Order: sequence, then structure tokens, then C-alpha cells
Amino acid sequence: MSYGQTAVVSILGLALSGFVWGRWRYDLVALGALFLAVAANVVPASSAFSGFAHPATITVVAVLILSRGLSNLGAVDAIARRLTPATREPVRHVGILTSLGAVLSTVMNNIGALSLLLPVAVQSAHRARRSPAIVLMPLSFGSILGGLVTLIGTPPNIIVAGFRGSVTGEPFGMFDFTPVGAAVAVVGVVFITVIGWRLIPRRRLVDRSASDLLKIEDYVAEGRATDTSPACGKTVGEIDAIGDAHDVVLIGLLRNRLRIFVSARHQMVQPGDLVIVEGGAKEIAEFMSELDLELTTADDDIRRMLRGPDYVLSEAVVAPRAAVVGATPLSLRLTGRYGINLLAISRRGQPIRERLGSVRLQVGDILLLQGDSERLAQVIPAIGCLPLAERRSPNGSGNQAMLSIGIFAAALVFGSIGVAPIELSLAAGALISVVVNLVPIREMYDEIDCPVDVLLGAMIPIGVAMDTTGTGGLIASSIAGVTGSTSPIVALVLLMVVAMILTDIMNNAATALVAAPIAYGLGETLGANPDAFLMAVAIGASSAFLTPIGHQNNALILGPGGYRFGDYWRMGLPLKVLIVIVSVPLLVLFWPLNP
Amino acid sequence: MSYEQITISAIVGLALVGFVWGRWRYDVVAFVCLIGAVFLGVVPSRDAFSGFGHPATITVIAVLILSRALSNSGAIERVSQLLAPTTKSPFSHIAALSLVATPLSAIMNNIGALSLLMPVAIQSAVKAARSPAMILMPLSFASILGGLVTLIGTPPNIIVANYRGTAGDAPFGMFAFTPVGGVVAIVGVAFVALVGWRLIPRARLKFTAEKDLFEIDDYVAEVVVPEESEVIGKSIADLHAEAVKQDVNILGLVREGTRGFLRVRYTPLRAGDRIVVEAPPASLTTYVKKIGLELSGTAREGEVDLESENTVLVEAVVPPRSKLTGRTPRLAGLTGRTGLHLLGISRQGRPIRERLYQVHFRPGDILLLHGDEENVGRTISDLGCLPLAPRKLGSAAGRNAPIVIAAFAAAIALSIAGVVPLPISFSAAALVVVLTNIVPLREVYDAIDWPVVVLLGSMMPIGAALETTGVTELITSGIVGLSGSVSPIVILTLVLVVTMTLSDIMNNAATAVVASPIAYGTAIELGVNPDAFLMAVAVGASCAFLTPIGHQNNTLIMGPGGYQFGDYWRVGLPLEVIIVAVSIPMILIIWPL
Repeated sequence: MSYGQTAVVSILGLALSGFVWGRWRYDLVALGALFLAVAANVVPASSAFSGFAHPATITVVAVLILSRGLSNLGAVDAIARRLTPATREPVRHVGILTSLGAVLSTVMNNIGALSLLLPVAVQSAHRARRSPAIVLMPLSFGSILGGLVTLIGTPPNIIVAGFRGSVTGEPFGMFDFTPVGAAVAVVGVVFITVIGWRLIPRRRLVDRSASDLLKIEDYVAEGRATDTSPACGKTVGEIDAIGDAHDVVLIGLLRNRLRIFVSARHQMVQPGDLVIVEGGAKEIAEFMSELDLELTTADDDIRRMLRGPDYVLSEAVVAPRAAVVGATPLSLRLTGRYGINLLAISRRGQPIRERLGSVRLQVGDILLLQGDSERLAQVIPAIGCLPLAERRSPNGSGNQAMLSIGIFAAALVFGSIGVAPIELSLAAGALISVVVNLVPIREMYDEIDCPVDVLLGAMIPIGVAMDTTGTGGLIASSIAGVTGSTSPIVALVLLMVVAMILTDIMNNAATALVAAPIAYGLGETLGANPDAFLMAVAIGASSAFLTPIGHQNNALILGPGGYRFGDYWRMGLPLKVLIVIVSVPLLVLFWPLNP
Repeated sequence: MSYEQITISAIVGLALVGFVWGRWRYDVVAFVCLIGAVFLGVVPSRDAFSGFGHPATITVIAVLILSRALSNSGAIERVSQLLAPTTKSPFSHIAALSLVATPLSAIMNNIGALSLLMPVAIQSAVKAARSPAMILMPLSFASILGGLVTLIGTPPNIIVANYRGTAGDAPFGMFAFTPVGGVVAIVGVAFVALVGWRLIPRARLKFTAEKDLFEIDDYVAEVVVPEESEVIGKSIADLHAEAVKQDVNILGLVREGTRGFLRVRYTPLRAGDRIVVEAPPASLTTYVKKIGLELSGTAREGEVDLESENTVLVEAVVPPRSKLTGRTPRLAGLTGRTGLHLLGISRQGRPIRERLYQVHFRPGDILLLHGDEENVGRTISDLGCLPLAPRKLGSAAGRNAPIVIAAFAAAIALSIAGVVPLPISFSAAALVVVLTNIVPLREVYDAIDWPVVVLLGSMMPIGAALETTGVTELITSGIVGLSGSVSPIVILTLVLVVTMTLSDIMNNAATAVVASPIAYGTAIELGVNPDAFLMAVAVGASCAFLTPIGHQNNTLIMGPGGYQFGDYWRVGLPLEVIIVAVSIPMILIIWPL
């Protein structure tokens, strides 16, 4: 091994362990790896930042902005509303949602497609008296499978195409992925619809809506302020702070059957007031004893407090990239800032009540919020969460819907018939969406998934270095050596399986970035068509079905479906096996190994 | 002229018109031109996005993250608190603030330096019974001048330095700008502190108490719920719809036996309750009649004290890059929050009273907010506004400063020693401040000024195309031909003056991108040292003192200083003349032709 190869291999090893470890977010790990590579002189300083100008990076950005234009579509909601009659049979219910997810995500980013359909899925499941768990995992998997069909469906495809472009000068086109990808997606969707959903553990399939899960009456108590109680004369704000210290949530006061909410920070507690709190049994007892409140139980009062006409309960799921990820409810101060209460969090199907204030929020957590209905509708998106109730139909008009479809279609046509490179036509489409105000200019930069762009920008030069130093070939030939026989088909299967395993434990774009140079090298070492190997990486890197952490979509449905970590592989593993079985013959057919 | 030359000239011409017109933000204009240039075949599609990986773009991003680290560290506020005793005379007051602002903006972005010091400046001005208008324009100009001193002080320097890199020489180093820029900055600051502030219109220099900016006293009143009123039993939430229609702002409820304001949207009203409202007099009368309330006889105008033990009045300014720009208060979510009210907006020193909730925010507007101390503070930072009062310092303030300074110093040292190029050393330093959590992960991408990044990324290939198509040569030979046998020094001066003028009406980074190749080409054509011409561009592009729109810093102080559009050139024009007079000889000495 030359110096360059040793350096690249060790930097790559460090980056991989960083991605898998997850202590630092992947963009920081990737940047660190890039700087190491520059310091070790395997990436020339002059091209250190070339990855940020790479077509793959630009394409990912453009697709996100275009997807935003599509997500304003009223069309999705209209389709979803017609769906209700078709949900009688679970098979049809699952089938329709999964196919819809797959179709949408062929042109949109996967998480965008899932976010659009998630509320629809949850609501239709409730209406059909079915557990959301039956439809959500199929929907998530369907939206991931849809990404396989086109170039822009998912970042791994864009990366693989871009890598081919930087090595051979000729990137994959828009529909080069379609023959194999579409077949895999169709087979996958059929499998999920017919068999897959039955593999989800039985317990999850029992109809148990999330609000039952977060049954709060059991955890709400009321205490009467006596004449001598230290609570008297304190303001609601002060009582709330004491509640925070004991980790109970102050829901409000009842005075002469009159409700006073926590947003009335300066209202003073008077003798005879009922203080209503929510929390763990131990915490409530401590809180009551500190304030010397007389514990009473009158379910009617509590129900009246919680279910008033102006105050409603609403559930929302923490989306990936939400601002609240990693924050604690205490630090968010939802009550003080917005006048809404966080009553409970459900994580992986388990309600969390104890020490609610100091829980660090994770993607897929469900928050049970209580407050003014109008304000909840504003606050939930503001903190980056998705409401689980159906949205009011968006104010986008039919014209706007047609316009955004038209722009997207035009960009795709221009990009695929070769008038302009795909990244250019998509960027032009994104620009037009901004100029005609389909995507408001102030939201433009919010749509961009900066961490993924930095990941791409930082890893692309390292990928190129793998190629120029011959490291990719080296790794490939040692793989070829290990497999003994030089049958390209065995190597192809092996490569896809390795990519599939990697993508379950780390980011799928990172997987594609690392695996693409190796795949190309493997193809060349074995004297076979490298395109088949690149395609195998594209399929492998997108097939993250084993864990909730492998793909953002799987993380998002964790809470709403009430799934556990171990639920995913039951449907995911057979699906993966099926994908390998279907895709390898098709790959060999469409990308002959010995042209 | 060939097809390519005509096309690229037309595109650049359109871009200039677009920048000056300002109907579309500069990033959109620049990107439109880039896409147009690619489709018309003057920028090869292979290079279309090369600007986004350009060293200049990366350096700008890295400096923004490091600047955020510096302001997060709290060190600057610590230092600026030491300034308090210097406010005896206007000269020492301005000089002391400039002495902090200029070096600070030499290493951080200009608007970052100004944002840190502006609250201190306003507070100290009010304490010294001086109008903030006297202090703010000098401070803004000093922070712009500070940018001239080093490579990373301002984007034009970074662009010019990298242009030299692409034109064949090594890029300018960190301190290549210092000899000329340092002298210009010192002379400029001295001028502003000694003479400049006296040129601000007298009306602006008169000290008035802050609240007069809004004259809120005239607009706050108490209304009483009379006996047997229709509204008894209804809640404030019920009164809200009509209030919004009539442009009336319900601030709270005062009831016997309770202290302070009640913010009880759903508490049924009783007879005798007093509702505190804020509204223009005409609307108030209509509203009170319509709803069946009475104007309170006891609390007269001006006697309602809005600052009680639990509520505060706070002013905050809308910065140039705020999400508020173009939105109405309702769209910005200012209406839905608890314990928070927008009482007024002040624009160019004049309060806006009528139809407050239909106003579209502009950069430089001042908001007057009323509510819970904590809520108000949080809301201001949520909205990305700058409070006009200094923030309270935690005990940890300044603790991270050594790490930030070490990261800065290491980045500078590494690049000067030639170990790694400057963009890499600075972005590595940026990574360090993120890893050490001085800039938290969720703040990183917010710290970056994306519109400027897109502007740079789009204009770089267009600038390159100007050259490859030979348009630069055409322009430069035109300039040289016209000038005939005029001395190169005159042409150098001309370059400086033209760049300055352009930079006053459009973004300074865009100015530098367009002007650098032309300046370089002109020098080559004349057979003189191109470095001198590039330096003239760097100085000229950063000097935007004539209008509030020429530089973000000038926009930011417009509201807090109560300035008007025409106030800037009074100080700015003499300053620009002095800068030309000082910098031309300095350039000739340091970079002989």
C-alpha cells in the first residue's frame, strides 16, 4: 500500500466509525475527515471544497426546494379524502397508502412524501378502527422504495450518478434507475401489501390510538388550597415554577367552577382554588406536600379542565431536523412562550411521565399538547413538529398546484432529454418556484437540509481521492481476493448486502459516498461492467429497513406507530432478501456484466 | 463584438440593473443571471456551480461562523463595559466606541461587530443624555472602516484576494491589506470622531427620551366594564375579533384585589373590571361604543403605567437579514403569543400608529414590545431582532473567549506560515468552535448569511465568463484608449471612485466581483502593477457611506438613530473624499506602480 492509500483507508475508517458511533452529527464527522485528508495531502487543498460545487450537492438542494413547492399541493389531500371508502380491507388500506407513498417519493424527497401522508394515514386508520401501526410502517417503507425509481428520488441515486459523472464524464440520467428500481419498488410494495404488514408484532396491531396510549386522566390530580396553604398569594407563574422543580405540569386552576389557565401568569391563587397538575404519582405527592395542598379526586372537574371548548388536546410528532430535537421541555418553556402545556411524551409506544421536564426530545417522540386550538395550530409547525390530526386543506389554489407540477415536469423533461444537465434544469426549476412565489423567498433557505449538503460536499473529494490514489481498486481487489472465485455476480451480491448493512447503521448518503468508489473499482478489477456495481450500491444504500435509525422516515413513524426498535426487522429483513433476489437478476439483465 | 461578448455584457448589465433596482433580493438576481448565462452558453454548464465551492465563498462562510463564536463568547460585552467612564465628551465617547468597533470588525463580519456594540452605544448615549443619533452613525462607519484592515474583515477583500489567486499570482495574504487599510481606517475614524458627527443634521442630535419615539402615552387608555354591560360574562377572547377589526390592542385586565396585569383570555368579565387598551383615539372611540364599554374617567391619558413589576417595555430593531422583513405582525406570529403585545413600530424616526397590524416590516424598523420580561426577551431572539438594551451577562460570559481567540490565532498563523490555504485553516477553526459547542449545532447554519453565499456562488462564474469571452479586455482597452496618455495614477483614482459609487447603490460583494477583473485588466493593459488596482477595488467596494442601503450596517442603524435617507451623505461624502485622498498615496507607496 502506498502512503496515499494508507492515509485514505485510515481516514475512511475514522469517518465510518464516526458515522456509526453517532456522537457527532454526520456533517461534522465528514468535515473533520475532509480536513484530515487535506492535512494528509491526499486531497489537494485547491480542490478541498470542490464537493460543494458538485452536481450531486446542487441536485439535492434543488430537489428539496422543488419538493417544497409540491407539498403545498391540495391534490394530495383531495386524494387522501377519497381514500376513506377504500379502507374496508386492511390489504386495500395498506396497499393504497403504500403505493401513494411510493409514487410521490419518486419525484419528491422521501421524508417530504411521508410527512404529507402521515396525518392522512393516522386519521384514516382511526376512522377504520385500525391501529396506525398497521399502515405506518408499510407507508414508510413504500416511500423509501419509491425513491429507488428515479435519479432524484433519493440522495444515494444522485451521489452514485454524480460519482459516475466525475469518473467517466457521463453521469447516469434521470431514468437510468427506473428499469431495476421500478421493478424492485413494485415487488416491494406488493410484498408489503400482501404479506409484510402481517409480520408486525400482533400487540402493535391492536387498535390503540395514541391518545389512549397517553391516557392522561390517570396521571392528573387536583389539590385544594386551604387557608394556610403556602400556595395562597402566589401567582400562577410562581406555582408553575415550583411545579417545574418537582417535574409536574401545572394544567390550571379551578375557582368556583371557573377555569383559569396557566397562561394567566399573574393570577393569584386564593384559598379554595383547585390546583390541577399532571405527572408521576411520586412527583405529584411531593408537589402537593410542599404547597400543603389537600389532595382531592373529582374526575368531573378534571375532565372539564382538560376538555373545555377552547382548550383541546392535540398530538404532534417530533420530525427529523426539528428545532426541538435534543431540547428538554423545560428549556422549551412552551407554557411561558406560547401558553400551551406539554402533558406527556410517548416514546416507542411507552408513555413518559416521570421527570418530563428534563427528557431530551428525540425524533419520533409524540408530544401530547394542550392549549387553545388556534394557537396549537400555529405552534406545532413553529417548533418543527407534525400534527397527527389532519391539516386543514392548504390555502394553495388549484392553479398553484398545476404550476408547481408544471415546473417540476418541465425541469425533469429538460434534464432528461439532454437540453441541459439535470442539476442545472432542476436548479432553474427551483429558481422559478421562488420567483413565482410558490416557495416564499424567506423560506427558501429553511428548506435546504444543510447537514446533508455539508456531508456531500465534504465526502465527495474524499471519494475522488479514493479513486485517484487507487484505494477503491485496492479495497475492491482485496474483496475480490477474499471471495476467492472471481465471479462478478457473487461480488455484486456481496457489495449490495454490505451496502444494505451499512445503511442500516449510518446515513444512507454517507453509505453511497463511501461505497460508490469501491463499487467502481470492483467492477474494473473484475473486468466487469462497473455500472452494474454502481447500481447495486444505489439500491443497497437506499434499502434501510432494519432499524428506526437507518432512515429518517423510519425514525419519524417510531412514535406515531408505537413501534419498538425490534419491530422493524420483522418486515424489513424479508423485504431486503426479496430486494436482493429481485434486483440482482434485473441488474445483470439491464447492465450486462460483460458488455 | 462576438455573440458571447454581447450576451455576457447584457447579462452583467441586467444584473447591475437588478441589484440597483432592488425589487428582487440580490441572491435571486444573481442566480437568475447565472442560470441565464448557462442556458445561453456563455458559462459552461460544467462550471455553473463552481462558485459554490470557491475559496472566497468558503472563507466568507467560515468567518461568519467564527464571528458568531466571538459574539456568543460574551467577551466583547465585557470589554465594552469598561468604556463607561469615557463618555464625558462626544469625541471621547465616539472614539472609545470606535476603538472597540474597528479592531473587532477587522476580524469579524462588519454587521456582527456593529450588532454587538449597538446596544452598548445606545445605552451609554442615553445615560450621557446624548442622542443615540450622534453615536450610531460614527459607530457604523467605524465598523465598516475596520473591515478594510485585514483579508477576513469584509467579503470584498476576500473576493479581491482570491481574484489575484485565479489571475495567476498567489492570493493576497491575511495582512496584505493592513498597510493601506489600517491607515485609511485610522484617518477615517479620526475624522468621524473629530468632525464627522457634527455634520449629522441638528434635528437628529437633539436628545429626547426614548419613549418619545413612540408617543405611546397618547394611545394607551383604560376602559371600564359598566354595570349591566353586554360584555359581562364574556371573555377577552370574545372581544378580540372586533378589536382586531378596529385596530385596537387589548393589553390586559386590571381587577380590584389583584396586582399587575391579568392576562386571562378566558376569564369572564365582571362589572368594574378595567381593560387596558392601546389604540389610535378615533378607533378607540368607535370600538368602545360598539362593544358597550366606557372610557375610564379616572385614569387619564398618560397615567397608565405599562411598566409594572412583571411587565416591561422593550425596543428591538429589525436587522437586515431578519425573517420579519416583508411580513405583517400577524404573519410573523406576533399576535398569537401569551403576554406579549406589539405597541408600535417606528420607521425612520417616525412612529407608525394606524393599522399597525397591516404594516409590512422593513429592515431598520424598531418594534416596541410590551409583556413579561422573559417572554419579551425570548420573542426578540426567536424573531432574530436585536434588542436595543444590552443583554444581561451570565457568569459564564467570556469563559469561552480564550478558545475562540486561540482558534482565530491558529487559523491566521497556519495560513500565514503557508501550511494550508486560508479557506481551509479558517473552516477548520470554524469546525473547532462547533465541536467545542461555542456555536451550538443548531445555530451553525443560521449563522451563515445564505443570500450572500448564493450571490458569491452565482457571480463567480459570471465574473470568470467576462474574462474568458474577452469582455474584460474590451472594457479595459476601452478605458485605456479613452484615457489616452493620462497618468496611471488618474486611472487608479478613477477605479477607486467608480467602485465606491457602485458600492453605494448595490451590494459590496457584487461590486468587488465585477470590478476586480476590470481593474486587473486595466493595470495589465497599462503595464503597471495590478496589485495597486486590486487594492483600490478592495478599498472602494467596502466604502459605502452615502446611503442607508449601500451597506447592511447603515440599514441597521437607520431606525435606532432615527436617521433619514439624506442624512448619510452629509458625513459619508467628506469621509469618502478623505478616503480617496489618503488611500491613493498610500497605495502608491505600498504597491508601487
